[in-house]
Amino acid sequence: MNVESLQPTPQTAAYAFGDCWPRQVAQPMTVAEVAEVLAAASRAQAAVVPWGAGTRQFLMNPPPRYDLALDLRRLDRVIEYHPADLVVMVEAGITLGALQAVLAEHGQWLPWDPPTSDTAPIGGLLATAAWGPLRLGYGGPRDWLLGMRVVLGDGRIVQSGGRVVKNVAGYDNHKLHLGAFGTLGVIAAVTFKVAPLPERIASVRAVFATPAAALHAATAIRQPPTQPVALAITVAETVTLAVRFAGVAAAVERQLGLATAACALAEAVTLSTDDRELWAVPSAPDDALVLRIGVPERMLAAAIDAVTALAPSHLAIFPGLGLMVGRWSMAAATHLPALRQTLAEMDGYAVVERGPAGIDRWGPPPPTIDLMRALRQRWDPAGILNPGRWLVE
Amino acid sequence: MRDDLVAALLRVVDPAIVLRRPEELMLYEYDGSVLDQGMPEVVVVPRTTDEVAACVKVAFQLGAPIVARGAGTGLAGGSVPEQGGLVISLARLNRILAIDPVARTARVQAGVVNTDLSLAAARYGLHFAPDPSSQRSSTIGGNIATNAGGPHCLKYGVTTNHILAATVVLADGRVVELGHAALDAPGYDLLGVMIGSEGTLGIVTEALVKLTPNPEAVRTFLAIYDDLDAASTTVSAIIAHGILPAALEMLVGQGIAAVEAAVQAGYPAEARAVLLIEIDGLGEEVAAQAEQIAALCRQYGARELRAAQDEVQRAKLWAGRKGALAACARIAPHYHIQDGVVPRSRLPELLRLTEEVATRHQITIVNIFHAGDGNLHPLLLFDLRHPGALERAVAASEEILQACVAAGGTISGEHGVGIEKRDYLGWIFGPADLAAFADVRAVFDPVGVMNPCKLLPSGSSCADIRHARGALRAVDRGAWI
Repeated sequence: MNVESLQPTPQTAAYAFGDCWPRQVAQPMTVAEVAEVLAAASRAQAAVVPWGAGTRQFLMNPPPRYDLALDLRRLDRVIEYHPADLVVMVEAGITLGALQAVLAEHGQWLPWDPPTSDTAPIGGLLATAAWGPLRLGYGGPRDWLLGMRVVLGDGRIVQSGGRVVKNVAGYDNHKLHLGAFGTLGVIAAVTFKVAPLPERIASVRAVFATPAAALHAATAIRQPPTQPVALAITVAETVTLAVRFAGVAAAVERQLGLATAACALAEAVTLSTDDRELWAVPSAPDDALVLRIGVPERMLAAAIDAVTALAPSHLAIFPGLGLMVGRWSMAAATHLPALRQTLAEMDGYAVVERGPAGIDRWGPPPPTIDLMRALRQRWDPAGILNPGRWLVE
Repeated sequence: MRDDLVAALLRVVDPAIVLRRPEELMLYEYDGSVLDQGMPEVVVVPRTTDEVAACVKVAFQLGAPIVARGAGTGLAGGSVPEQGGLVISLARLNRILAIDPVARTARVQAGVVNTDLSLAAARYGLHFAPDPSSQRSSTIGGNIATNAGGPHCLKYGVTTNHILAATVVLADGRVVELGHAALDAPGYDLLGVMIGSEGTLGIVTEALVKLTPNPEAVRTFLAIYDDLDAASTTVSAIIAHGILPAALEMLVGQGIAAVEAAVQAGYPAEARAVLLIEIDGLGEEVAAQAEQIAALCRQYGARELRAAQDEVQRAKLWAGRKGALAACARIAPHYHIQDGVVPRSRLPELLRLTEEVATRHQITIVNIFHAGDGNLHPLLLFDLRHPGALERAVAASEEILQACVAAGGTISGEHGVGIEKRDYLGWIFGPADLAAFADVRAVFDPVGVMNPCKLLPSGSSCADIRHARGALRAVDRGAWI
């Protein structure tokens, strides 16, 4: 199961960060094997990097210590799928794309559209808090998650939640692993509730003169009766608002009409019935500074002003979610402290998704950081999981 | 202990918020569950988060148990001061601080009554989606503590799906904000474990909650059955066909007549089972779903499908459903209520089993429950004056719950674990799982003063001081399922 090397081999090189590669690679086939690996690593105080497809490792600091790459892609089975109950349980190494294909055979889906979903395993997407524009209409994976089996840093296999859609027994420990970047444990298996595929999905795309004009239209489109399942404003060479509807065909049809009318001030409006391309996420170049910015929804207009003043080369704004993802040249990193100050006054934050080495990725820690550290101390007492790579080091 | 606690409280807070006369304390010795009682040593009714924090600090320093309480409508003993100590009532923290109709959020104090928030939001065309049947009494803080559900959670999700942030008083009196008005702020989801923690991790004093737009169209149906299996099979079929009603409730047997006697909403008293089905959304969606549901009801053997003709009739049907527990007091003076959940496809067999258990244990069981979620509420009705009645009820209840677990379900869908189910947790979780829960508790409350001995299996430090069993009061205090 393990490969050990002091020089990069073809195998260890596949898990490299620049010129830093692991001494060992583990590719467990079972949850019990994951537990063995982590228990042994804990005893040896070996630094472990849990690894899915490696598509989102850039969201954390490169590992200052790197003994073991724990590749979870062999844990890729569908454990149970009960279409009649709209519940599915999978191992965490299955890609979201593969799961969607299984669900689609029964006319169902998990309404979750993060980037890289074809290649990235579900465990990594959950650990890195991956989300997509459908979050507006359907909520995030936190809202679809029913239960989880996790291997804690010390090798304990634990579960919480369950396999039914309503459950208040025990604490919702599984929520702690969402967005924890693998620093509390390794997600091994996950149970989701799923939904019937909508009869129709379609979008409207409108080009506006300014972000403010696009936001104005987006705000109007969020008012009932229209219920967009996704809204995104892209600010690049042009300012584009994309609006997505899903549901019964007649209801989608009416909403497309209402949304088009709400875009009366747009320079151009197009309808897309096959809209998958429209919602595909462009990948950012490696040498870009990419920031994720979050503010309370009511502060979004002000935050857009503050962010566009820094002239990003590409900015995606998600009205209704209070989130933005912006791209700059690396040189713009000098503006980060001032931007954070401005956002903090709005009760918002900026996180560096890509940036130069050594940059302060997360800004000031939350006041409850002591509780987070105490929790990590309990579940990863040897501090082996992604040490030094995330907010709770 | 008691005198020290009272004296210390009086030193730090306004004496007007400290209750200590026996007749005052008696009001806080029970909740909506029937089986559990415990007398607090002292009760405080603070008016601010700072007062809550000051009281918590005092109890923490003396090592006294701290039990938070909203409206006391809980059904699992979660707010019963079983170990004595300090009860903190959040009833006076009852202000809606802000409603933001654009962001669709409200900032509320913990003691705000659920329905009051929805009434206040109505002028903006919004409501607070979690709608436990107790919603006219129960508080947002209590809803958060129990991660409350309700009929419309089938479509809209339970309380945890509607809370963005909360102000929490921790065991040592420190005040923290968990969650964030902005999504995805970095850090562990501590709010996620606080919700549903039944006062064992901290006391929520304020919350930022999501509000949901009122639907464009709503239609409510009553499907009437002469056959139990036909009704439960219809429920499974509706879910299996991918139809997600706003609510899908079921009433079985004697409960229908009791509800009808209480509200006269047109529930057919002689029916074997009825489904209360509500669909909402855009007009086109509602029209399409209405057709599908009517077809399925017919296909699976409904005798009749009636539609509520107007808002008055709809409100009456819901008043009947939400007041069902009180209505069943007409059948017998005492009750014990279960809250098991099964996969929706297993409903027919669980309902058959419930009937069989009732016959075998010679006890009346009425099922009025959230069928669409697979969340059963067998209501075991009995008269304590009959020797052995309580024991038979508890035995029947445990048997049903074990069957839920065996079917792949769980021991509580929405009422919580509290006192009542703490020793059942081992039915669904192993020692390692329970140890991980205990880890979370130890992080938030290292000394163990927050609602001690609740939610997790009672350990050696929890003497079983259930002084109340066998000396229960009648059910006429009112409760809701």
